[in-house]
Amino acid sequence: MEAEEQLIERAKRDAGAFGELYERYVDRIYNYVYYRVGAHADAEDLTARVFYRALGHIRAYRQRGAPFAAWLYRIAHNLVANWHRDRARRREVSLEDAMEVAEKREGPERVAERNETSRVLLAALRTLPAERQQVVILKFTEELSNAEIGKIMGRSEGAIKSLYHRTLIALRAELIKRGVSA
Amino acid sequence: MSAKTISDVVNLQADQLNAGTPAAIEALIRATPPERAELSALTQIAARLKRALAPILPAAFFRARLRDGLTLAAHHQETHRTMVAARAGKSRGAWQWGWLIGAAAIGSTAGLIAMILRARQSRKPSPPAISRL
Repeated sequence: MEAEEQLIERAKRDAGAFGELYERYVDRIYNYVYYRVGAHADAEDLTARVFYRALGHIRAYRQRGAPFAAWLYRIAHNLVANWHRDRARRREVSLEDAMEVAEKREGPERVAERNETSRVLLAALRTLPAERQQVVILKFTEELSNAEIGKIMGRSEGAIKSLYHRTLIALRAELIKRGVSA
Repeated sequence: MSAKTISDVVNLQADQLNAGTPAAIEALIRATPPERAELSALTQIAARLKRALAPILPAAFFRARLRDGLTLAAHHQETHRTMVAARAGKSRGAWQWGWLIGAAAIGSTAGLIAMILRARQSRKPSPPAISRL
């Protein structure tokens, strides 16, 4: 497989090379977006936007120690944040109603349709701040180490370790609030 | 057991969940009575999270359609860039021709003036010779 740096340089002027980069990362980005928004249609829309934005800015991309994936995840993170903000603005129903609607829509829950625990757990996860959701999704779906997650999120390995611990504590509190025993 | 140790254990458990070997951590939790309840609750949540966050693949149709769209957009981008570069090259070429023609015009005008001046000078009558007679 071609070295990533060379492929990126080629992708700045060659459509085929950008296609190769897309093939390498589309599943990972889709996975991340999917668990952040909870619906296939929205995940597809946002994944497409991530790659179109990456294509538009790839000539300005410079390697600065972090992997190319970190750049893509950062684009995805920003687009998901905007998506949540726009959605919150558009909806006039309360946050609780919105959560319920989100839970009823097609989502990650479909994977474990009969698994009530997973459904509640994912719904609880989505109430946490974005960076906490990000650390858990990158850790468990991407199976990245704390050091790798740190590079993506621009934090130290120690900070990610502590963030993960605090995320579990927050999740337990959220589950208790929802009447689920942790 | 300090918060740092709890953090170490839950992080270790996450690595073991990813590696598919969570049994070792359970033995460690059983061996730590003071914080067993806390650790047990957090590690159970982590284990459930791991199960709930199973990797999801995008639909093949979506994947292929997006790739086609991106390839097309990349080609458009390339074509646009080539056109802009060609236009910039053309205008640079026009400037170069302009300078060349200008320089040639100035050069030939200067040559013409020099010729006229020389011709005038050669037509002037020479001063009469002074006779010493």
